[in-house]
Amino acid sequence: MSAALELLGEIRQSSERRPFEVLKLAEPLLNKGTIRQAGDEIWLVYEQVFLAALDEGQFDLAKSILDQLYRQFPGSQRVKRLYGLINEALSHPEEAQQLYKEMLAADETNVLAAKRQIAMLKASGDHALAIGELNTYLDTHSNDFEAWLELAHLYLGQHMYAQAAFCLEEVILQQPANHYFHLKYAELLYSMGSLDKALKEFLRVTELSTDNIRGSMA
Amino acid sequence: MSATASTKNSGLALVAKGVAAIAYIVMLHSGYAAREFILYNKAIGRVDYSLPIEIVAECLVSLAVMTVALVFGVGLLKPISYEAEMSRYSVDGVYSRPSFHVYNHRGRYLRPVQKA
Repeated sequence: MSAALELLGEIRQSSERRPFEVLKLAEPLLNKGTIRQAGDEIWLVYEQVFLAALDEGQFDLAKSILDQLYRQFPGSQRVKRLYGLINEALSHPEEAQQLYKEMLAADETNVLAAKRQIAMLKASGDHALAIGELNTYLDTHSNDFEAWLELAHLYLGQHMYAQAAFCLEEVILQQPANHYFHLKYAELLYSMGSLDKALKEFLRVTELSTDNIRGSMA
Repeated sequence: MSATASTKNSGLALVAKGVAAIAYIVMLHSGYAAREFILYNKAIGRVDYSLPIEIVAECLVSLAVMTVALVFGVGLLKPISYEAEMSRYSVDGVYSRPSFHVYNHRGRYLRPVQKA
């Protein structure tokens, strides 16, 4: 397997958003056809390149990849979500909304479609409504730490620190050993002025990750 | 880890693997010798089946040598602490929340679109 494919895999696993690097790595793979070396992972690479192309605004590339994915998985809900994403990126929110509604009608436990609906509210700038919807979503899916983290960020955007702190506590309950969440919580407590609790959390960060500079400096 | 250290380690590992292989053959040999000894005992009609000390010693020494050699031969052990695992994750990745990414952003205007 080529080095470019390995790097793409690393970026994919880290879930960092680095579209420029992804496209730069993927372009020679797509042009020379060496992307087939990926084996079964080829569809994951295609999805990754598709998302990167949306971020970079290369819609022709995105469409050609989406065609290939659709030919491989005609009835897939995951591919349908990608159609929704390209509609969002091309400023057709109504059509994207329609696709997500169809996905939810087919299976109302489809978390990806539900999360996209909330993300679309966020994209339209209606953060208050997004917070309400996300709260409803979390009533049902309260073990989704990604959604709790998102809600914390939305609350932070509205300067509702106490509510954001509650959301981060939920995240920490689910992932107690992840020092990044402790770090975020500590910084939030510091902003709220509860220095003693913040200090305790910063100490927890340095305990879980002994070389964490952001935690030690704080 | 520097390059010289890694080559030194791989040389040691190679020697250790060789020693382990030899010890394995010696152990097989001690088993074969034990079988031959018992068959010989049966052939001459002796009732005392206890093995001579050479065969037992050969077996035990080869086992001990092989164990030590294998420990040196497997190379560096991987760190398995949770902290070592967490150090693979970056702060950007942990906070990124991919299900909630928004795509109507300015990304397409930031640099000229490359013609694929």
